[in-house]
Amino acid sequence: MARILVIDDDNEVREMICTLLARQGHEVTQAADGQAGIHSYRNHPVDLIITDLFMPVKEGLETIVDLRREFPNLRIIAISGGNREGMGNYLRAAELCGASRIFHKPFKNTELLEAVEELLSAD
Amino acid sequence: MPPRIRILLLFALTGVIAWIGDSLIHTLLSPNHSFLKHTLHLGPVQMVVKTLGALLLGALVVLVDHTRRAKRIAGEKLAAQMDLYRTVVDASPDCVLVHREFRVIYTNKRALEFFGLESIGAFKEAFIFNYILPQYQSAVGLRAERALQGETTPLLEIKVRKLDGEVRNVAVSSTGMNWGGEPAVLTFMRDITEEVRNKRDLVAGRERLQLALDAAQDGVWDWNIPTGRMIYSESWAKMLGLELAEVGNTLDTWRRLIHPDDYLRAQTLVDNHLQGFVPNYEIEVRMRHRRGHYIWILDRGRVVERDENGDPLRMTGTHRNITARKEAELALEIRNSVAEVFLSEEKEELYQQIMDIVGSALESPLGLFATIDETRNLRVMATRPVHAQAGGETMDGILTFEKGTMPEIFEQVINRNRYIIQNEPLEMDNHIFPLEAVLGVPISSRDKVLGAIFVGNKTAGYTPADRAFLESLAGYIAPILSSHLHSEAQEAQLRQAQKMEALGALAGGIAHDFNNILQAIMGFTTLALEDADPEGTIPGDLERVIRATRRGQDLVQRILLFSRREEQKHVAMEIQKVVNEAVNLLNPSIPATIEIKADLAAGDALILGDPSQVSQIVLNLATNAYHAMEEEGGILGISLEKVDPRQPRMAVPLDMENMDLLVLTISDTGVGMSAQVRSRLFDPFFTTKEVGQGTGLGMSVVHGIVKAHGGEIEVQSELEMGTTVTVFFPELRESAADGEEVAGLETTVPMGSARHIVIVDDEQDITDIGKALLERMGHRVTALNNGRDLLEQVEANPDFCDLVISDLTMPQITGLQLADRLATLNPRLPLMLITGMSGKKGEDALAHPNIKGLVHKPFGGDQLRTMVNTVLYGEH
Repeated sequence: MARILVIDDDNEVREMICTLLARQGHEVTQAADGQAGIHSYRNHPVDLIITDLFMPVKEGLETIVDLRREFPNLRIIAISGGNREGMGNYLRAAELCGASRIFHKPFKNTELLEAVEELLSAD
Repeated sequence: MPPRIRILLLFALTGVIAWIGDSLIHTLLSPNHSFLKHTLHLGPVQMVVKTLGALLLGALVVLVDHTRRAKRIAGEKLAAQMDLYRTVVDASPDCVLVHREFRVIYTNKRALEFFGLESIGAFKEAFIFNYILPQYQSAVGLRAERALQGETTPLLEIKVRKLDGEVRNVAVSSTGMNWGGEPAVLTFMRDITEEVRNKRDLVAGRERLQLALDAAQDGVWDWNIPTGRMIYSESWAKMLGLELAEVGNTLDTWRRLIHPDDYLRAQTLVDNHLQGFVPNYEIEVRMRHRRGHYIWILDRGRVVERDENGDPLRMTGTHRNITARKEAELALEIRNSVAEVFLSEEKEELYQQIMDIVGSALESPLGLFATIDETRNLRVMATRPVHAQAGGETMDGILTFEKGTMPEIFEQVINRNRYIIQNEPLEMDNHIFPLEAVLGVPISSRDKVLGAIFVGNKTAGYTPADRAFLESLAGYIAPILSSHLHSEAQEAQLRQAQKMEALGALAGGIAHDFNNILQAIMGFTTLALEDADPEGTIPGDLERVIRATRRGQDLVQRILLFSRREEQKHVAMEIQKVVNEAVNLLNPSIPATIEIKADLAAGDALILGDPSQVSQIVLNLATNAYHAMEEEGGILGISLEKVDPRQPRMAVPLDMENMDLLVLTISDTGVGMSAQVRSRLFDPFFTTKEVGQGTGLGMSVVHGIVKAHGGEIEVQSELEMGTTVTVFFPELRESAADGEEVAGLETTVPMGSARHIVIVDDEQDITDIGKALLERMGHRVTALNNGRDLLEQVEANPDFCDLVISDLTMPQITGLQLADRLATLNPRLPLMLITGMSGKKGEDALAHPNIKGLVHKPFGGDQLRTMVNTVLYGEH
């Protein structure tokens, strides 16, 4: 099983994803914003990061770019519930920034799990 | 002989004579030489010099002679001219004076006679102002100046004094002239004393006549004060519509007919006069006419007899009908008050204030001031008394009568643009005012009815004068009201835009949180589902939670769409093709009881827009139309046409008056809407459908899309009369599309030119979603679950389709294999591969010449659209 970092400022969503992944047997760490996420990754590297886009302190796109720069092979899944400007364009931007997969919230548990499995097995 | 030849001959002759003369002098001075000899012995040079000299001398002689002659001729001519002047001037029946610098040079006989002179001698060099009365001198002076500058001055009436001191009225007119070679002023003067006198007599006579006529119509009264007996004249009675026999012979008649509000004032004045405090009795009062209305009377009188103690015995006087004058004064006064109301800042109270002014002016306890909105409904802006219950329904807080449902009297005034006046009780619905009498006039500007004013229940009933007054007031209000309504419409538009903007911002704001909430619910529910006993009822319940979550998700999407928060991607598109596709898409779901009448006549006209969104407009509006006719059936009309702003055949929105427009109209013959429903039509979450049948977002979405396309939407509907929704899109002109300002568009094939796209995936879900998404973009889509089916089609017809979107991994034939086979059948056919994987395998596929793009699962509309546009139109 793999180590996965979940970054989301929404407690319920973060808890939900962590629970979901933990039940699959993954070792899950979590952070409530991008800055905490990067800090966590440096101390405890993981195989995959799932990150929200709109967060306080350090938002998702910047987090993805910074992580990619520092760790080019890192696999990232971006998730977003959109914001007042809509959602499609930001998720696509996340893709351009280096997210391997993107998901609009709300997504199905299975969708996320499939993507996680695929990315982990794509070595 | 022509003068020129004569002159030449003269020249020659003089020259010869001079030459001979010169030679003779030489001969005489040198006696040794004979004339002939001298002449013969001249050298050629001397001959020329002498000849020239002789010619010059001759010319000089001629010149001197000519000038003298010309002078003489001019003098003769001038003299002849002066004679002519004198002859004409003397013969004139008017006085004629020629003067220079205000001094007389010449006068004709008539002028001499006029002033009483024997000859001009005494008058010559006379200063003309001596004869003109002082008040006219400057005017005459000015005119003389102007005459010298070449003007002929118009007639001026002045007064002059003759030598004997008599003053006469004269009319004068002056012009510049040349008198004896110098500029002078020629003045004609006519005696108009008699005419002026006659005219004055005429005016005076007319006035006297008028006075006499008025007096003849005046009513006369004669009051015997001790007995109280009153004698009224016949015209006194007639003025009030009464017969002489009816008026009796007591003061009571007067007391009975005078307006109660005026009685005390009049009585006091009479008493004051009787006691000698005021020399005359004179007052303006209202007296009741037989027909019930009041007329204005100027009542004048005085005591004509007193007893030895000075007590009054007899008083006489007259009545004059001054109603017309009083009404004109009153109308002016009212008009000024109305103008003040319009000019004041308090716009909210505007209608009420006007209503009150009109109501009290026309002594009407009831009143109603209404405006007509663009759908010809009557909106009650003010009533008298305030907030009177007048029926109708409330819309935006304003009482509204819909076209077709308003009381007959309103219809009459508005539809015929004509007044109504009725002094009998009206049969009306119970909830309307109990009307005993009514007067209503339209307020119209350029034949367009903008509103109407009604007043009711004037005790005395309404007179033609009341009508004329109200009509003139309406005519005065019309232009002001017109501009007022115009700005009101703009304000309403702005308010709606602001409302949508605010809701949009709110919706966008909550969308994020809402999605997160849904995510948590959905995720945890799914987790719970896994743990639940599959045999129990829990899994079923949890499935329902998940389904509900999806509905919530859908809702958020739509909120984002109406608030235009979703990404916009506008391209030049042929709107007709998109509308046509939508109609085709709609066709199968419409029951046979509803007939679709499509009339698409926009040709290949372009708009700048998003084809999937325009398609959604048609689908949403048509679905509403269908629901309106679900019970009874009917006709669903869908039309599209171009409207030239220079030859508009329909009313277009204010802001779009000068644009080339494409107008989409979707109409039904269904149940229609009440004014109340219509006013809330675009409000998000407002629905008339049963709970669970609609979200109330359809029209909000349409509104959002139309606005995002720079368009306007108008809705006309009446209960049971169907609904017509008109959408105005600004046309994208070819010239603009070709021009530089819309750079890049020229190479963009209109999105409306739908392509045939085949989507191949072994998973039915994927092809279903893909098909739906692609169709929304306006394309024709064939969904296949097997690559072999596609190969068969392309073998039969290499141009079967324009684009293939295929899954990469399929059981029978993979996406890459399919690409290879298709390349041999049609090398130009592009492919896009759908892949659930990222990384090497997908990137490798891009090396294939026919594979133009990769679509990652799960794909959304935006991603797919971008990819398809890139591949089909080379757009990035």
